[in-house]
Amino acid sequence: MRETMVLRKNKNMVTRVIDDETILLPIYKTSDEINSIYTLNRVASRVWKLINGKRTLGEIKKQILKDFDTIPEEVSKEMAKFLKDLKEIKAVV
Amino acid sequence: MKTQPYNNFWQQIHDTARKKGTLLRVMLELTYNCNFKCKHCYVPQSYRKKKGELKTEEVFSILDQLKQIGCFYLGFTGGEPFVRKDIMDILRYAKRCGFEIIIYTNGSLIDEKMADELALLRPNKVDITIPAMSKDAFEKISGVSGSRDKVFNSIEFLHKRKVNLGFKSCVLKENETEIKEIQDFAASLGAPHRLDDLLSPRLDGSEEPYKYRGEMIKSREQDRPSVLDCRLSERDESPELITDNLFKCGVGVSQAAITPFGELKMCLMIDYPKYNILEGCLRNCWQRLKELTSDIKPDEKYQCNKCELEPYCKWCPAKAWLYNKTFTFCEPEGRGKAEQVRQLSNNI
Repeated sequence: MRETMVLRKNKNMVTRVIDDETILLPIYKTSDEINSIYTLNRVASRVWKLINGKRTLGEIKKQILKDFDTIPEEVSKEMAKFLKDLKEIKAVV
Repeated sequence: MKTQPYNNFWQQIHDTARKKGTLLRVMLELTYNCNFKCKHCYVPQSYRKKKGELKTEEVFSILDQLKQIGCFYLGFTGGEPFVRKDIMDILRYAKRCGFEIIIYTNGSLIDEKMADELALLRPNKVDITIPAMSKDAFEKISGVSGSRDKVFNSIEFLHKRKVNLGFKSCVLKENETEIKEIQDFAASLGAPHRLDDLLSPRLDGSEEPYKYRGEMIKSREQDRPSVLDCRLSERDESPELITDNLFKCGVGVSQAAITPFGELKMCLMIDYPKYNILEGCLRNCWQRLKELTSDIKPDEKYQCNKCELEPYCKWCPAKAWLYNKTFTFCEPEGRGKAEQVRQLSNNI
């Protein structure tokens, strides 16, 4: 995870909060995506909210450390995994 | 991020919505107009002439409000939703709001261009009514010449593009010997098929649709087990019998319907009361509907909890409502049909 990197959300990815759970819904689904749904845990949900095409990943990480009772290594690991997932489903560009 | 199977997620939010009273699922009637003239349809002809159906912007406003109060599943129905020129705009808007959608249609107006876009939007299902397999029976039912070819062409367009399909049929005099063929066709596309052997009176109370009803018993003897299975398996979709709540489907708890005029009502079949969303706001209308529904309890007329026909019966409060404007009465048409299904079941 390069901390200077800035990510933008794909406009074709919709966020909904249903039953206190944040979910990502591609407007244009692939046939593989039709029977599944992407749900985010609390940290991932906060990271997703902070991605705005302006903040660097380093800034997002700092904010997560402020918001949650966790250590930098854990946040780096969790963010790296989440960002990989987001790229895989083309949720960020 | 967790990738969850859709059904697990659905079960989870469905259970919570029922507990919290969140309006999770809505059937949105976009129009009462239709390009078919099916005699057994529950929408009276007079409804089709009514003026003042929702304009595009009004539909969008209702979708925005539905999103705000936590609705997640939308069924677009009619009439025939594709008679609206703005149907694709509405579907696109609904997807942009983050709804999961099912479209209920006769399928005849879906051309290749629409199929291309539906393949991108990927509704959870396009649910198409197949009245019959033979051209003759199909067009006798639809009342429109050339309708069979149009519907089967649309099905091909959608299937080729891997759009999720579902089918349903009513058992009518014209198609009662063709039900198995329809089932086989659905199975050949890997799509589910639902069967309505009861029909409903019209929204104005007219029982004329019953005149056109067919009998499953008229299907070929070797086909009966499969036809019956389809009829009985539909019950699996309903939750277990909840004795203190008449609306097993979730009406007034997590589910409702909206008319083409922007009125919130219990379900497609229960046309009263209706709360005008455009005059008030959806949140208030939903609150009123929930309170009204929660006051409707089983009374001395309610018999399902001690009825031996219950496993074969498709009774719901809407059937009672259409019969005599009560919510608990055991209406004779449904009871008669349940008796027939039990008999058929025992003979197989």
